[in-house]
Amino acid sequence: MAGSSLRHGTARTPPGRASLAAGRRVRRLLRAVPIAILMAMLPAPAAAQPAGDAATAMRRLTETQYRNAVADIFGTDIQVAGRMDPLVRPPHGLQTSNVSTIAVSPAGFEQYARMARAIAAQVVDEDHRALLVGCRPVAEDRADDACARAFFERVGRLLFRRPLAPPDFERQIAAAREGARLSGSFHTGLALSLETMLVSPRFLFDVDVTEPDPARPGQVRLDAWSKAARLSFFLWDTTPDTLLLAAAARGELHDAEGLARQVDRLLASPRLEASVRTFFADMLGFERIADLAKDAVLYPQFVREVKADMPEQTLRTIVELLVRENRDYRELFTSRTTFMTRALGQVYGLPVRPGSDPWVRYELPADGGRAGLLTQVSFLAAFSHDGRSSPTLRGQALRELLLCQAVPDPPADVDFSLLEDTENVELRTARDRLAVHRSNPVCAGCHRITDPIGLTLENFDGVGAWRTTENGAPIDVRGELDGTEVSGPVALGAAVSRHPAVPRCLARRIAEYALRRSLTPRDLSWAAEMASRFAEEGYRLPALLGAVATSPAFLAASPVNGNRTDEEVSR
Amino acid sequence: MTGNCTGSRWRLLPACILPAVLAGAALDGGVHAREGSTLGFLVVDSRLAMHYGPFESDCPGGFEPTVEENFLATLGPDERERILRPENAEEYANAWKGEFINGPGGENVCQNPKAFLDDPRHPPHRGVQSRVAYGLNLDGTPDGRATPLTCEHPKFEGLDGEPAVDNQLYRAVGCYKSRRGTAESEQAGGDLNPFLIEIRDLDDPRNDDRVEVGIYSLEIADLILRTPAGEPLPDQSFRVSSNPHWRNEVTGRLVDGELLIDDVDRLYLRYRLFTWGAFADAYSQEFRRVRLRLRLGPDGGLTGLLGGYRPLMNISTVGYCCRATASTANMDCASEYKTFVLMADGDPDPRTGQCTTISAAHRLTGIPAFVIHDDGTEADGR
Repeated sequence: MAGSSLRHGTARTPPGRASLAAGRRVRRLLRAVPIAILMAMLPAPAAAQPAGDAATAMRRLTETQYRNAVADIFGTDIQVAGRMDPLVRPPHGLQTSNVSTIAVSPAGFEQYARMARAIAAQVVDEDHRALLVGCRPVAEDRADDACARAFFERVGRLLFRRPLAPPDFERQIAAAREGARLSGSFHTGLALSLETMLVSPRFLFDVDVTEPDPARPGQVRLDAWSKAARLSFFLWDTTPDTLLLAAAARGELHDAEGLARQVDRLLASPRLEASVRTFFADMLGFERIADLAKDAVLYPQFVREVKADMPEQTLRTIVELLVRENRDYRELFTSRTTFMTRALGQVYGLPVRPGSDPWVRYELPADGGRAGLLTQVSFLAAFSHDGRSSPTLRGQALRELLLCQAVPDPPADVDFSLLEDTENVELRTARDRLAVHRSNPVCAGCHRITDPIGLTLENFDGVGAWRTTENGAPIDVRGELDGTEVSGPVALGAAVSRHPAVPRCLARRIAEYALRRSLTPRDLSWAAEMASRFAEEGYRLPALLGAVATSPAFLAASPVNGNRTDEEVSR
Repeated sequence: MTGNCTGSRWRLLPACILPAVLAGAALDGGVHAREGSTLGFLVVDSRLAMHYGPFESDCPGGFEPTVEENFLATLGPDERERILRPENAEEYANAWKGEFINGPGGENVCQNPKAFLDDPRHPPHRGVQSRVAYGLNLDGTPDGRATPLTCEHPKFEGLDGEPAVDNQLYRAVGCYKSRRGTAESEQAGGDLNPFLIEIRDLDDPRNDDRVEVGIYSLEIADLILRTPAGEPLPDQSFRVSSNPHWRNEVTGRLVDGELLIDDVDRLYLRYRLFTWGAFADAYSQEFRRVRLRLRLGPDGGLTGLLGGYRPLMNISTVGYCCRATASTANMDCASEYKTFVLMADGDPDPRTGQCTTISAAHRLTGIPAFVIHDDGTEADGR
């Protein structure tokens, strides 16, 4: 898979150069050097295969992690233009858990190659080289091994998340030297060598590397660099910083106190927010918002600005409440604190005083019918149809996303025409239509567990705007959640906040996010333990993250042959 | 933005800044408001109040001539036939887009319309000939006789039950094709920008003998969100202009659901003139002795009329525009200005007796909006 992709990708014409001669030289170089080098750097074919067992030792960097890593290593002004293979959400799981099993398509690898070329070119261009290359070659038109060595010593450790072994250094320096010879430019050669690192599986994948565990003879443990990467991707959603790598170098991550110090540091950093945002966007299924469309006649207020702002509102709210204010997770469903823009204000029917920042912290009216995440348009609009609200979709989303309960898909031959007939003069409200729909026993089973939840949110139309009538009929917002009678959206939020499955579900999702794979039966007791710790800590998210990050299970070597020794990965 | 303005959409508090829809679009579809509530509107349409009667009645002479037609009218038949030949197209374009619209000093009919007052090649418009028009009685007379503040002028019969309407601006431009269009749907937009109306201390939206009304331009940065079809969305928040010149505070009363505002001495609203590639922000539109009649609708919006006297050089085509207006829009601003002078009916110059303003009416359509003041009250409010 990878080999053919590489050949395809590296045979492409490079970006234009000032002279045709230089272009020809570079094209020859791209045909000659990267293939040889990249092929040598690929792991053995078996290592690129998804692990058969759920526990695996290779995890593809998500697009966010890739972008964050490039920004952290080279700076935020380095443009990363390109898209990666999309992550596929497994049934009832996180998208992130798919990074352990997903392969890279040939087209996806082409994208990697293209991005690598563009990134490397920016790193060495006139605007950036002084800062990012960090040394001046003796002469611009020829190789300078000392300068190349200094560059790769610094950058290589950050890219591969571990120091480069001597053979790795020699490979990169040789590539830079050969590139300089063929192109007549030190910096072009350096960029070509850097490009090979950026398409290396050691950059694109977080590969577990094991070593003998001195505390358990005959057993292996993750080496310190792998632990550093696992921690950083979990808590910061990016590559380890120099302090974490330094702690790894000192062996502190094998020590409980040293590990705790680093975890505390990561948790205290504002960069924790990036990972919290990634996690909740994943948990709440925000990928569906990108494709969300609404009937423009029925919902004219669903404009581009609203679509852009609605997930951001929820993520800002989550970060504010759970990270900055360290509040009880369950308050997320009852709090009236949120953030608002002018665009969102017209959907909520609320005034917003704009300032220099288009986002303003906002307290929803006490008796305005809204409180908590379930009354935000990111939930209400995302789990509605394009032309009508959907108590069923909302109820299903609540069960699957927030309670970790699976709701079966509908049978293939169900007649939905009645539900879609929103102008039915007899059945004017969604409650009326669903009541008739449930008379079909095939449908009734599932609707019984979704609709009583979703009907309590019927004060919100298909875009999340407030209403009290539907087709002129007053809306009845009574319903129930697992035996608790509920009337209206605010009461639903309160019931959800008291539901014991809600914090358990979060702990389970966090465990899944931390391991970046689906949980196996072997993980469940650990996830349950984390849920208990979560409760003991008053349902504070940072405390849960800390408990997970410092738990032996999180940093354990995966018990399958997916683990690579450092030597294997280098090979 | 936290504070004590926490009333729901159905329970309004005096300090709250709330759009009409919150109080207006009540469950039964009627307009309701609680004691002392505040309603806000964004006026999204303020076109000239142009009545569309039968064209042959309104404009029996047809549309007013364009600047190009005025040019052709200066030519004899032979010369006219010659210059319109295809091979003379360049000469023709240079002729009417050159000297004819530019005076000897480089003055332009649209930039400097006063310079052409004595130029007979730019004749005044014939004007609307019918007797019916939208508008309000602004001078208080039944027949348009001269008063200390007005010149003698004909009146229109009003629609909407308003007798003795003053709307000389409509009379002046109502047969101008680029303003009237060939149908009501083609009428050009008004030369007012969207602005805010805020009704405060509203006890009863049907009848209230005194309410405070703010008429404000909005902050430039607060762009209007629109649907993909271009319709402005309701319930948006807009800050009141920080320039006090464009903040007008008046009083009014509500009678049977209609807001009546009389005797506003001056009203100023910001006018952003779109020029090539940039907005000019410093212009004002001025109205004198203003009256408003605004009906609050069950949808939370408002519709009605704004009437007042407008200084002649304060009407965008002749006041602010634009060197290219004549050559590209084919408008003869010199003719238009000359018409304004002839039909002006307000504010006579004490020395010459020539009126300097012209009565006008604009049809307003407002949608519910949140009016945000920058004086700290809304900080408490939300």
